[in-house]
Amino acid sequence: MSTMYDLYQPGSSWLHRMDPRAKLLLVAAGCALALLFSNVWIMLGLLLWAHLSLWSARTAGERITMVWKATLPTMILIWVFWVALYRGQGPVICSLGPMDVTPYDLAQGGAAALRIGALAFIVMSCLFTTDQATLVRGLVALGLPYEWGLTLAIALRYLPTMAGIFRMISEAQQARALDLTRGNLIQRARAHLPIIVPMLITALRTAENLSRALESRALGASRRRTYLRGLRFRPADLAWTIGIIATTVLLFWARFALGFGVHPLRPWP
Amino acid sequence: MNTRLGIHIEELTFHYDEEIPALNGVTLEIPDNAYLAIVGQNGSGKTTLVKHMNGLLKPTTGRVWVYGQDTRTTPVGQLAKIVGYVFQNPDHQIFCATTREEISFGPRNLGLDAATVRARTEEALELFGLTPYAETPPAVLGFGLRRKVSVASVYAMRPRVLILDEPTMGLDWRSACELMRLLDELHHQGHTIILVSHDMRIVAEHAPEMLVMHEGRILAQGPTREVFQRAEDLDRAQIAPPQITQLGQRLSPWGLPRDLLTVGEFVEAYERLRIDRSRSEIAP
Repeated sequence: MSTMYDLYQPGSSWLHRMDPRAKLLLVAAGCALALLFSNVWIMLGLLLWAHLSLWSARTAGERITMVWKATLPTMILIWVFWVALYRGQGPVICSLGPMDVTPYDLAQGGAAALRIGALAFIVMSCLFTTDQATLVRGLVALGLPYEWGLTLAIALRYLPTMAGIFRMISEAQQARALDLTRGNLIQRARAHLPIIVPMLITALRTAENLSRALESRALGASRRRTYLRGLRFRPADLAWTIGIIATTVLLFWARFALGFGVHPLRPWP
Repeated sequence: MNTRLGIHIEELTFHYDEEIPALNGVTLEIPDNAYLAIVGQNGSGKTTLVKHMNGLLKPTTGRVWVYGQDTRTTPVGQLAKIVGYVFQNPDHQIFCATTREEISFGPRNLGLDAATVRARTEEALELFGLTPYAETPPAVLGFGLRRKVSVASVYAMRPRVLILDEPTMGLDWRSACELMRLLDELHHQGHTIILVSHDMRIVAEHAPEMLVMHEGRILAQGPTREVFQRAEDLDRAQIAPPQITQLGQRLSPWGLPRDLLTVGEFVEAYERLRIDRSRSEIAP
């Protein structure tokens, strides 16, 4: 059975070698920019940047497909709803009943949808190239309490596992003649109850077992933690940090002072 | 349209990804009222194979017919009327507030009338000894009882074929024996039973037919008694016959048969051997 149980894919690319603190800064800056702008071209640029990073880190195509499979339905839904419910400026291309569709609506919906994809790929470019221990080390080095860092890392680690369990539960209930395709949106959502409840029970049981396993391996026994692997902030990491901060500040200034990236189609107002 | 009874699989190949096939050219016939055990190493394709028998997985190439219905075109819900599938982990299907509700979930999905649903639910509760727990939330029951709930809730749908993935895993010996006794009973009633198991003792004692999977192919198939004699195939699939069979095989130079499957058979053969020896000693 092909289920991905760990997001991390070992490698030695520039992204793998980057210090986790610099990488977390890169992710934070990327996410902030994705939320700051509403221009379709900028969103495409961010998405392209994330893909180029993943490509240069030799990320397996299967993983990239996995992210697309998870985000594409939401992206399409956002785009459709945006176009259907929002009445923007400009000439009407076509009318669907009471709804008028304009290029502005299409672009604004597109930017909102692409933003979801960009956020997902920016976060994943970090998770695919940073192992759990290093990620926790990075977060702790930035001042996060160790337990919080570990909790976050475990939550991320269990995402694909939970997706696998969801698929298995869904199959188990379909084998009991559960039909997830019949009825309207509300009926379909209700039909998912036999999947969600076992999912919650399994998650709670897993959490309980995991917490006991961690305690039995002496987690929290000592106040002062020692680390097997030290973090090394190399000159390249410093260069990246300066570059990320400078670019982010510049783009924030351009956005607020010049109105760059506010219009969904034109980069400049 | 294939009108034969049973499950017919023709040249089935299935890929989870583009690389190695999980199933590679499997051809198999499971007649009505069969009792078959499917064994093999982890990753040999056992679960993938049985998931094709109720349409949860669709063949990449090849065909699967379940009582005449092509699984490629028949919805899982339709096939669930014929093939019941009990998953390895009971917690993956338990969600109702009471055991009674849990068992009635499947029959209700089949669109049966209230009286039939009630009758089937009560019968399943009774048969599996779950009546005292009918109003208890199934999620809080012990593992053995949760396993019984999961089997009972599939049994209540009255499928002709019952597939059980590792039915005795995590059960103590007594609960395992009780569950297997119930499955034997269902087989006598006319159901087809398909077990996926790593427990060779259970396979030897209950399943008259067995199938050995290895790297997505069928390595050996036939009566359990015969398959356990095929040392080379079993070795390749890294499967050891039950200890009692191995003991019989080791003692075969002293006259014990090589195809013993149960302790009862061993004792009987030993007794026979002892009597024969004492007769030959008395004889002039």
